[in-house]
Amino acid sequence: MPPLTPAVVHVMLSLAAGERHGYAILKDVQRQSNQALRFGPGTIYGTLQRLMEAGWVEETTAPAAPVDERRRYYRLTRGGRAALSEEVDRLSSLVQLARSHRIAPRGSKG
Amino acid sequence: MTPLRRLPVAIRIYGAALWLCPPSFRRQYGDQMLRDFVEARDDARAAGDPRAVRRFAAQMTIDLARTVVIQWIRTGAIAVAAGAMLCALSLVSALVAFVQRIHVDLPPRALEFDVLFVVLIISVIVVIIASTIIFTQWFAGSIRRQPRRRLRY
Repeated sequence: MPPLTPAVVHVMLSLAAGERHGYAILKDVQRQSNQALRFGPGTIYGTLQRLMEAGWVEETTAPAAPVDERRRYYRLTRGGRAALSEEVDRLSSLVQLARSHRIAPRGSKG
Repeated sequence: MTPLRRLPVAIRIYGAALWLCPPSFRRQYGDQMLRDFVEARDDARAAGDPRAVRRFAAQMTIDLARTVVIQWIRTGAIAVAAGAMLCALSLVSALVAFVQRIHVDLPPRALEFDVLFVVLIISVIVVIIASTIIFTQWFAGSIRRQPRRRLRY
């Protein structure tokens, strides 16, 4: 599987916590990245469209706790969760490799 | 649901700009995008910082422009239009080459010649446009038209 784009990883991470609508995903991505990534609705829905085509995300018909019933909610499929795990493994290996070269994230002690 | 024309200008502009997206994408996500835009705008205004509003406007403009380009590329319509234009130009070139071989008696007066020249140029442009439309319809024949739907907030 080729590496996933930052937009895809962040959207999938947001959905890994539970079903979300588009704007909740948008806000999640901002929070996850400490405001570094600010996607607009077009990027979010374009990403969701690709993820649904890949079978990694699906639209839910009945959200567990509907806040706004006009909203459409999305959730990760089992395949999506597996793909995200694979990507996290890849990123983890990358971090380990970086650490082996004594490249540590800024601000960390190890 | 609020009709689009009763909403603030920024929302109306964004709603109108969504029509630049391919119809299938707009039908599927247009309503949600407009709703998200309204919420994001409210959040930016609630921050009370003019820079936040400006940043929001720039971010939304860039996002929509990117989306329009990416989504049209994904439909393949740009490639179809380029192919159709190429075919149309080839057809017109062939026609022009054919017409050049035929002997035509030009009008004696300069004014009539100018008129004839303008008519010929317009005809060529019309043929190019018409052939592009015909070829585009021909190539994109598999893409079926779907009923139009109004965006609602």
